[in-house]
Amino acid sequence: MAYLLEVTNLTKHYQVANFFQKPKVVRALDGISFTLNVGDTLAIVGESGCGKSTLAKTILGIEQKTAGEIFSEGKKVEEISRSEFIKSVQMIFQDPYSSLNPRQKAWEIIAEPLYANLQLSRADLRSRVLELMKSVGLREDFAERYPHMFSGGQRQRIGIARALTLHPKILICDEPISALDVSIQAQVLNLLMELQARLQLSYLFIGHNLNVVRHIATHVLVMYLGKVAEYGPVKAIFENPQHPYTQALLQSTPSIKSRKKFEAIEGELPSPFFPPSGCAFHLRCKKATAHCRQTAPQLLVDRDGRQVACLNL
Amino acid sequence: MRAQFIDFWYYFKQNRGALAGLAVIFIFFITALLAPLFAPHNPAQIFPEHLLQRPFFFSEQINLFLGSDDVGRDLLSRLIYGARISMGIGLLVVIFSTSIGTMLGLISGYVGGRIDWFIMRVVDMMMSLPSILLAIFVVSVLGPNLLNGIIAVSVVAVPSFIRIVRASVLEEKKRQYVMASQTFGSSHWRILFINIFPNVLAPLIVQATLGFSDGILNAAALGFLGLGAQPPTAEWGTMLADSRAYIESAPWLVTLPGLCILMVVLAFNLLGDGLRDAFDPRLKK
Repeated sequence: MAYLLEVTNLTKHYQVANFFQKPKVVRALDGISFTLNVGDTLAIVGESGCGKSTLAKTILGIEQKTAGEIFSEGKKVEEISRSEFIKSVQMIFQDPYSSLNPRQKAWEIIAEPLYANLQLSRADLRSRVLELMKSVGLREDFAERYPHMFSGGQRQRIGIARALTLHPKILICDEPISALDVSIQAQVLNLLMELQARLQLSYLFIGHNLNVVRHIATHVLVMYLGKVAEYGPVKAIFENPQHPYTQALLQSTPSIKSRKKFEAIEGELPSPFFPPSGCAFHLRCKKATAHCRQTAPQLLVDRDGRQVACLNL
Repeated sequence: MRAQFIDFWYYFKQNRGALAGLAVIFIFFITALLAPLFAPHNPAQIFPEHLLQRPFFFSEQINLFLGSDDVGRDLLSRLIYGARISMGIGLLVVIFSTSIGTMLGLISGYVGGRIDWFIMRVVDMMMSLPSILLAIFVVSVLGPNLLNGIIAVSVVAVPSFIRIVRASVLEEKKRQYVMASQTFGSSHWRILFINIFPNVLAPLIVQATLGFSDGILNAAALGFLGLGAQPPTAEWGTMLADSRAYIESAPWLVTLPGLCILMVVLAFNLLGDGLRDAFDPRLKK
């Protein structure tokens, strides 16, 4: 059976041109592959600047991909119409403040995707919007309010309602809770999980809170500098991490149960303008050998579809 | 629509200054429209026996209420008829320059690339010349009359509108709601006019109200050089300029047209502030 969403070898390079320098190529995404099934949640984790948001934009077609293929239910995205693809994949944004137009009322914001894609009468539009507002836990009388009158959590609910307007099958959540108060994060997370169960949604969940990822995800994709470091089911990744970067990420996650000291990852993410030779992670990797400095690791795929890119396995 | 207007009026009327501005503008507009009813004399009629007549508060003579100018024309009538020309100039300049400047600014900011580069370089060239010099150039190409004067003053005002709108569009384009519109496939038209444009309004309204006063003053400057309103047409700026030789002997000739310009300009600026606030949902409760 075809996957709901399949991405193979997705690559996005930016040409950065400058009057004084010769053009440089930034490899924002370099050969990303994964699959997404109905009802699954794929978490994409990695440091800031590793290409998570570029991945979301490239899948949605806001950025043109340089190479690779995106399949929606077995069909290449080029073969289906843009509006059809848009109806099946929608996005929730990180910042609940800048992602809502301050000049539009709540119901207009939620209705915006309908204006763009369907011809509906005003009454139909409104009843559909009110229904959506109810399903994300917003009161009906909020419809006439402007975004600045809402709290961060309520704004994020408006963003979720807007993403659901076209009945998508896949929601791309770009760090949907990282801009919210801790007390609100759980509410929004529970809402997302409830919606997933009710509407059979699949999530592409971009986040960096590993505790949340463990809680919500079925699969995890660990990215480092535009490449896949490790990819597999959540259980395997958390219990038996293979890649040194994944291991280091897990060790630097705070936990209430164990009071061990965190081990911070040394150094910083290298500049994508000057990627290191060999394995991109070797500058910060404890297990790095001379081999790592020269040879870029191939992505190893095992029988279960698990992917690891490391030379020292 | 009706509900929106009631909503708008509710917030607008809380701003006293804006209400006062609106009232002053209303009075001036009525005066301008009904000038033949209000004016006691023909603005071009000459009273040779009353040269440089003082206004009523300096003399017993009240036939020429606000006095007369150096060729014996009734100042009050000229001010009333002048309101027609001056307010008309201001309005037309604002309409021309705002609409053209907004369109070009929106295109420049949204499309970017070579088109943006081209528009901005033209704007740079226009702004590098003194505005009055540019206006003189335009009038001398088109020929000196009032309409061409208005066109010239509008052309001079366009670059600042382009810059302001473009800067705001660039600012808004970075916000996630624009990217959100892209994710659900809104057309460029919808993104630009329904989503971005309302967020650009605030600085635009302020600039437009300032543009009104700039328009009147620049048109006056052209009139002073004989390139705008041609005599004997009554126009505040020209009246002001013509009477500068009498600033010591007949100060009312300079003061009264100047006061009229000041009041209208001030009223428009107050109105602009009020409009900007009433249109901004962030200030609503």
